[in-house]
Amino acid sequence: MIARRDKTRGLLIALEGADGAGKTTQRKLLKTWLESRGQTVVSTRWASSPLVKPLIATRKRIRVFSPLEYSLLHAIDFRHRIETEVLPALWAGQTVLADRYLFAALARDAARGLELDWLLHAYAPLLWPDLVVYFAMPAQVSSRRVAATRQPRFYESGQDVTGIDDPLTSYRRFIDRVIREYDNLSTIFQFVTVNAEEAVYHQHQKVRELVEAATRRPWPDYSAEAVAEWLRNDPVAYKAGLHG
Amino acid sequence: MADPQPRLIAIDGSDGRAVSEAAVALQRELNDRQITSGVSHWDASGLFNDVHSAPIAHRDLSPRTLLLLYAADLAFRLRWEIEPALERGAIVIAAPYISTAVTFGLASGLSREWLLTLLRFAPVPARTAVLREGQRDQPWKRRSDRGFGECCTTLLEDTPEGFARRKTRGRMIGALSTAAEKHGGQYRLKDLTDLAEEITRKKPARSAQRDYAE
Repeated sequence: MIARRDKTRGLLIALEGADGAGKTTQRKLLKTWLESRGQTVVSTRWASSPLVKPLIATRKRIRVFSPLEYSLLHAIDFRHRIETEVLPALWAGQTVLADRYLFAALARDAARGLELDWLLHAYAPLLWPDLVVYFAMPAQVSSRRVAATRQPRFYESGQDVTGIDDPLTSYRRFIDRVIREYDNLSTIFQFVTVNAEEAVYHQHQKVRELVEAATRRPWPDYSAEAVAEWLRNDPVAYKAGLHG
Repeated sequence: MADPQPRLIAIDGSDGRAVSEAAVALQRELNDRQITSGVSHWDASGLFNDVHSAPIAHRDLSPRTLLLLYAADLAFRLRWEIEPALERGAIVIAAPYISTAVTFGLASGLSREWLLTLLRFAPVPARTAVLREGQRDQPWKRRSDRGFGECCTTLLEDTPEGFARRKTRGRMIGALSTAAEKHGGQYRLKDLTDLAEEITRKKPARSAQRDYAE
């Protein structure tokens, strides 16, 4: 059933990169372009599950998270969105654009000192994206862009782990670690890299080309466990799969 | 009597109220022996309460998500309750602890490897007391504040998929019974006096470092 659905399901495209890399801009441009081509597109953003977002926001406000708790709450958010937003949309043939996916968590949590091996386990079973576009840029550029628009928030600037009082100074140090982790992940998981320092238009052209050339990463080979578990827990989708 | 070395005692079972009552009873027994102890209860972080208070349309949860939630709550309990109390030299009764989560996960079809790796941040307790539960065909009550299994029942039954609470609890009790064999048998409330006696001895009667992965 999973193999049959794999032929008609939607594409899962992950947009990754540090803050200020322009992921949201590119996601919006890509959505408009795909919709103009007749596709139904669903966007999913980091820490946006309607169930988990308030839990995270409340605890962030009072700054009670340890790196482990921070990581687990984001894993819950991710799992909840996979089960309630991403998989139903893909199953129905819609394209899903993830504005930060699994790798944002891996990079940030690893930068906070958690083991990559444990992190991959906490996020398992994994639903692999068909395409990961990584908007790469140096840490200084990220810091400059963020500083130009706002003061980074406590956890965004990694103040929980750097112990530095000034958010921007902390951000500079933390984002350097995050980008190093992203670069490692990019090598391990073979992201497609786009230079985030190029003009928005040029980046968008590149993204279009990548999406046009993207092929499905076969579910039976890469994501069978995640899809099968979702189907087991969701009899409506299961029945639709039997008849669809 | 001088306090024995700080130690973590786990009490696990499928019945949330029984687990809480056993923890309080054990604490009373230890207090009677002038031993400082504290109890760390489920959902000290308030995460489950917050989830249960969310609009019903948003509460479409799977067993795996609930186990991640349990892990987040346990991380909170370790940081704010268990580890500070152990550092102060107290005996800490964690009720429930790892076996409750692992056996619920196993009963829900999750893999042992995933469960054990997820929870590997939690220190192995010096002693795990699994509560004896006779009736395997008793389903959990829908009481979100009573314990992990009961709260999961409430949350999972509200999903479009529903929840086989009788079957899952039966499987969990079976898994707990298997776990108890590794941890030195099952306890009834009246057995807790023996457990308190054992704890008051300087050296635990049974191995302190048990590997859950065995």
